[in-house]
Amino acid sequence: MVVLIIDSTSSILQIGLCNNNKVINKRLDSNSNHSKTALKAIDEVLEEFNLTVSNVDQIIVNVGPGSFTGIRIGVALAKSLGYSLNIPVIPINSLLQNVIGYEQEYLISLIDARHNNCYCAIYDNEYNVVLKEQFMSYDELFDIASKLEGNYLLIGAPDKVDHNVRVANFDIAKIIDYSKSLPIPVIHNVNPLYLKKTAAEIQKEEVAR
Amino acid sequence: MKILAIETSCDETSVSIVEDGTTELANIVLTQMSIHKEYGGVVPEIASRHHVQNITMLIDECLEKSNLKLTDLDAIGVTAGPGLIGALLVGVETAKGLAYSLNIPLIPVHHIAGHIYANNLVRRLEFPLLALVVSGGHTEIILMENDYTFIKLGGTLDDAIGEAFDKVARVLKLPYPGGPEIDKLSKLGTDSYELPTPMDDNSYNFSYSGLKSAVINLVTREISRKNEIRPNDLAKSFSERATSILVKKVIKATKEYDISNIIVAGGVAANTLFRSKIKEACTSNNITISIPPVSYCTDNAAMIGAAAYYAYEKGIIADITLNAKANKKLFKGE
Repeated sequence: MVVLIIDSTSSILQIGLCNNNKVINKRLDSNSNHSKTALKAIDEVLEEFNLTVSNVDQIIVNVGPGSFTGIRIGVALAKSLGYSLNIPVIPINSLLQNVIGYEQEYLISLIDARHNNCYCAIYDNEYNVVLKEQFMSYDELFDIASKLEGNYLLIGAPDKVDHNVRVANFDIAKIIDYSKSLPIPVIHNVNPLYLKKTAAEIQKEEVAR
Repeated sequence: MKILAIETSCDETSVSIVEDGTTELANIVLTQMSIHKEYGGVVPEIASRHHVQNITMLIDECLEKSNLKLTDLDAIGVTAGPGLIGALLVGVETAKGLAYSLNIPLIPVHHIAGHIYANNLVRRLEFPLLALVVSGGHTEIILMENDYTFIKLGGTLDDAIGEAFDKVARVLKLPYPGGPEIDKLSKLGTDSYELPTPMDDNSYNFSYSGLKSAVINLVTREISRKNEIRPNDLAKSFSERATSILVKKVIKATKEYDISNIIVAGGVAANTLFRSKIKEACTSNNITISIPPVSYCTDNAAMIGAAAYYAYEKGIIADITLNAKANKKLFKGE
């Protein structure tokens, strides 16, 4: 079983490949222009295993939240590869993917969304949802966190380093393992999870009010 | 050679399969116009979101309509620019994924080359020719001596003609997109407003900002004087001025370069007044004119599939690092 993982939702491009039990991952730093590098990186990890893309049995794609354009690069690639190879594409959200591999009573996943806002979710030790994935201010999130009864960890995006926040793992084996519990949608329904409306939509709603 | 082509440069998601650059086997166009209408113009982020949501569905539909399988395809063509970067990227990434997994060539196409080659789907281009490209982003006279070579004789120095149409429409408070609305009104009007003729000189360049400003100033002045504006007449007067200069300059170019073929490309080619003017001028000057049907004037992937075939013949192939370019150039040294 060959599984390919694509994550272009942050400024760091992460590509993973698992061939039976052997895994490799490729991380390209924040200077990566994902549009130029993503498919090349996929090609390189396949070559390392002496495989071609036609050997891939399944794709796991990170659908966000994160950079809108970054998300679409990964999703468009995953959809077209999955469609033409006729293989399943499993969407995973970035907040969940980032906490996989961490253990604590509560795992608070957060991704910066600028202007003192974040995308966030809280999971328990088995990655069950305690607070569903959403967009909110840091203040609101920390208020909710302060009311949790038990220990928690803060886990951020792979490209954000903050002394209070752990950096997301990219634990391929564990992500694949967890993905077995996720539903496999029809390929056309693999879509980005933005968690935030566009500025134009927000403005229009404000005017309407 | 069967090329599957993808076009997502603005607010139309389109997939097409074209054989040998001339025959459309299927062409699916999903327009987002009604969505963007509510915002008075195309919202790039919303356009991109719709592209990624619909793209594989359209590929599927296109294959079904043409009764072909993915394995029947010989190459993938894609608009690599110019256009909205986020929107273009969806098409480019999808095209790369397809070409890579099917192990067939990936052909990057310039959006304007696509508009020019829309004509090739109606009738094979005859060289040498002059292409008059008139759209929301372009106003150019291009000399083509053979396939997929483009020599610029002149172009707009400021606003594109389509842009001027849209801005005038906005001043007249017409709904988006403004071009077709101006067209509708002008059919009911007479050329009775005094407006300047834009850049009537010996060059092949155009300038539409003066004409546009003249209309805006006129409307503002009339409003402040509490005079009524005759929208039909204003639309007609503006359209007359905007299109006459195009026709005049392109006919002049046919004489200087001794060319007897003109093709028209781009969204403004759908304008009724412009179509009748250029046809009339070509007939009286013994020039063969090709204007694509209105359905090929707006963005579509069939034109990209047609252009891709000739780009491929010129050896234009991209690798898996192909990136979209918002300001992709058509001419050397530009």
